[in-house]
Amino acid sequence: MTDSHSIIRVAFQRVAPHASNIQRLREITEVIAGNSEAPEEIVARLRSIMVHEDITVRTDIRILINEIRHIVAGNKST
Amino acid sequence: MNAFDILDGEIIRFLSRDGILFPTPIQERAIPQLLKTEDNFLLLAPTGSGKTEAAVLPLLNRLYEMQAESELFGFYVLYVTPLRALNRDVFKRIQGLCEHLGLSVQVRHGDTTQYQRRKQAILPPNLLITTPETLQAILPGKRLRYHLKSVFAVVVDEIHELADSKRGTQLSLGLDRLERLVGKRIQRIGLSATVGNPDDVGSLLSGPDRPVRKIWAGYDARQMQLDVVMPQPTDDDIVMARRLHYPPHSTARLRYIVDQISNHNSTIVFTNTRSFAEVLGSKMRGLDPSFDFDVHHGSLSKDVRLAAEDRLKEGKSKAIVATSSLELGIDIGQADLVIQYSSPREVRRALQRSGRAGHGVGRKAKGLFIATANLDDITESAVIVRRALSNKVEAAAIPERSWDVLCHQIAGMLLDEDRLSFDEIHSRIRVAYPFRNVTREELERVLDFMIDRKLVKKEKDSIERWGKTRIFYYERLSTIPDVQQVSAIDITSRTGIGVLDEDYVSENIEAGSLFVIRGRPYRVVSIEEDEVLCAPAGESDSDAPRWIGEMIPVPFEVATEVAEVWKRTGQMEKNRVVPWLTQQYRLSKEAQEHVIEAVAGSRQCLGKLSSKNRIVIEDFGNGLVLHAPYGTKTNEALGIVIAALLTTRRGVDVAVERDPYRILFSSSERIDPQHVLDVFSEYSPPQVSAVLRLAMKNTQTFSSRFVHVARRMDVIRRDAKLREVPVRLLITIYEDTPVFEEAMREVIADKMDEQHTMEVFDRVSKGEIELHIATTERPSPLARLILEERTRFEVMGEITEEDEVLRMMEERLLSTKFRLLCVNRHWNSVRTISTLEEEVSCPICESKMILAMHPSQKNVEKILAKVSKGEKLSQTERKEYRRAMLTASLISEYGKTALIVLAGRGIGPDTASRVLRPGRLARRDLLQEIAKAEKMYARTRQFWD
Repeated sequence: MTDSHSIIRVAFQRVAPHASNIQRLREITEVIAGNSEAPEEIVARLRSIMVHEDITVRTDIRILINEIRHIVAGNKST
Repeated sequence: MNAFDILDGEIIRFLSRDGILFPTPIQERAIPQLLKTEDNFLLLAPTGSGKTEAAVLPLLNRLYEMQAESELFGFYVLYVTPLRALNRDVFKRIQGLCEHLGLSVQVRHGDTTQYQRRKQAILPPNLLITTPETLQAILPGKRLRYHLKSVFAVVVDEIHELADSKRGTQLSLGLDRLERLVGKRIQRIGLSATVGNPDDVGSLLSGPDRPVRKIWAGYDARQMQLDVVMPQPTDDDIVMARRLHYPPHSTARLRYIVDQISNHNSTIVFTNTRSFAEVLGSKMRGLDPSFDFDVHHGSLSKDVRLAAEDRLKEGKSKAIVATSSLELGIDIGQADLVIQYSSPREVRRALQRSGRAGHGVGRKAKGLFIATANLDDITESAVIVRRALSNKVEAAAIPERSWDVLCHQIAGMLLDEDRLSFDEIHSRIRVAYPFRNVTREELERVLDFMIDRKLVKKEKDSIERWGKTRIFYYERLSTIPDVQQVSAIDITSRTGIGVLDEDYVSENIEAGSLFVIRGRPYRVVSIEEDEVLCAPAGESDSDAPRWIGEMIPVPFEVATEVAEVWKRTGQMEKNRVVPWLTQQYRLSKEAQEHVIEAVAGSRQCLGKLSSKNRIVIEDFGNGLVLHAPYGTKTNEALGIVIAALLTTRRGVDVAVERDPYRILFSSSERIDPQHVLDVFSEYSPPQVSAVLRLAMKNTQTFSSRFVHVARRMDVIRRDAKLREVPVRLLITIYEDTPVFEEAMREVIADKMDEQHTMEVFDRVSKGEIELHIATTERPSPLARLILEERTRFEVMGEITEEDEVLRMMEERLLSTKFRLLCVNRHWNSVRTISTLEEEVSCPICESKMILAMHPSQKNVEKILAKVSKGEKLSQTERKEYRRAMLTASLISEYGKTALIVLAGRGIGPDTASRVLRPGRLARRDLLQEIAKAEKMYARTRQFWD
């Protein structure tokens, strides 16, 4: 499993308790996790998906992006 | 170079644009330190010295830098204040800068709409201004909980206000829960102008083991002009008093206030009670002043309060009559004078209130304390002014080991994390200062109680949340006593004009009643379940509604200094006293004269005056007054303990009343002062503590507190009506539980000063406090202050005013004329009551059987003649004869006092005989009873006339 793959999965696990649309968020995560990309690209893809989603899903994705950034920032600092 | 120069250029540009070029002392000192470190801080500076900006500018600076590095998403800074109104004010102050920096700031509290709340869940503001209760609400929130993970700083404004109550206790655990959620240390910054014990308050903010850096600034530079005045009635005031149906001294104060308001741009007049704010507003309207003003207090609706604040700010009104609702940091703009009506009773309150004048950097706080013509009130105001000018603020009494708060926070922890071990819970609660000493046994008892109530459950080694945990937590977010309230609605506009306490409505209001709210009279049209419908009324002679919980205790330190002032005034030569009272205590000439005269009279009467080291026990025949200047809470406890021990020793009930300077004991039998000496010598401090608890258990105060605590601990439903709750039974059932313990702890901590009470007993036993017995023929002037003010701390609060009303009534009664007729027909004379001796008798035959009747009533003498001749009387004559003979019997027994009662409106001999009872001959009690009888007549006269 690539780093990016693991980052998005860990991020999903952390934000799941806070998500309003957990099923939809899981689907999005599965799709993106399937294509292992660099974290910046994952964020960009999530942003492009957000545009077409309902407002509450958009917030869930926004939280997911935030968490990915936290993880990436944490990895860089260690 | 100043502290602003190290902030980001954008912030400096914004401040310069608004003309803010130089930091205030607190900003100068705090900004560099807050920029440099993430330590916890307590910023201490006078009201209006820019503390908010001192904390917020460096935090916004940091946020602005973070924003430059990456997009912000979540809450980063929480700004917690004790009041929603303060939230709005802080928002207005920082909104512009936040916008300028591209940062978002919003308010969230009980008034926030659902729409706004949803928006915040979707797009959280970077800086959230909120209350402690709302923070509790969002801590376990699904979405908001995530947004809280980015918080790096919490500012707690007016922290002394929270520290003094369970709100602070709850916040201390709440901040720790927040920190655990974030996963790292959060910078905590407390702000206050008036903290007497900064170390304790710092520990409350930060936890007992973490250092807090204290920054004091600006107290030296603060400009305050505080003076105590005692307006005396002029001839014009006396004329005006008749027109207003208001006592002359009160009218003089009213006129003085109106003059002061006219001579200033904008004024805040503070009263100690909501009721009196209403009375004052109503009477001021009666004077028809040339300016507009509003009334502002916590029981008025939010819209009304906001409108009043805005009107003053915009200069549309010149004054606002307010209670503590305007005390805290709300910037009401241009106020250049604060008037405090009657002693504010605490230094902290005096400073908060005076600071409202000249609220703003570089402006002078001007405060006028208007004392009533009462030795306690004048001296207390003076002492508070002196202490305020030297910044001697009372310590905040931080509630410790509050089991109701602990139950709630354990429920919160389990919502945060599902399950925790006993050890985890124990270590987590001990991180908070108020719970630092909780033992494992104590925690076990609390958890057993929670498990028993099914608030949580125990599974093997862990404590877990259960079905009721969430609802228990969310229904009890607030630790503020839950007094049920009813809305008052103006039916002409269908708008809310205020809220009334449920007990006031049920006991005092019915359709047709008049009451004053917002300084205007309203007539009750009908009373529905949750609202009182009323319509504006023209009359002004009506009651202000009363609200409970308005008593402000006078602290030990203030009371002992008041006694010291009396002592020194009595010892010093007049030419030295006057400059001393002027310079140290800022007393006006009239107020000084009153103090000097009253002290001399009291000293002459008692031989010695009481002080911190001397208690004077005055035996005036009908009771004892213990002159003990130890403040409200100490005297409350001393009174309860001594009365309980005297009752036990004598087997006869001893009633007790107290004020901050003395305690009155009365009984149906004489109380020997030696028994009080015995009580002091026979009981040790630990025994006193035990007696206090035993005695408290049976009081109404305890029952009332028990209900509040039981509501918070899920023993009583929150919405249960008080009259439906079998309180005494519940107290018995729960006697050995944390509910009982907490109610007892709360009532003793809030209402009493147990420590000083035990110290008094200890010091008496060591001979450090002298006990001096004084026997007086009639109560000394100092004793009269409690005898005539028995209800000083009752809900209406404004006893001085009530006294004056009674004095006015007494004047009216004494000026009444009666035709007096000797039963032997030797004497028939029309006389004014005031001209008579106490004992009324016939100047010719000395008979005490004197018939009293209206001066125009002349036929009674004829009836007497008929009776003496044995002639038959008509039915009407028989009736008149019976009434007249009843008056004679009352006058023979009670003398002039009987005539005073008979002079009351609608009081006939039958009613008078009910009012005149042997135990009720104290003038004040009697006048109160007459007033009651007159009211009853006024209510029922439609059935009589």
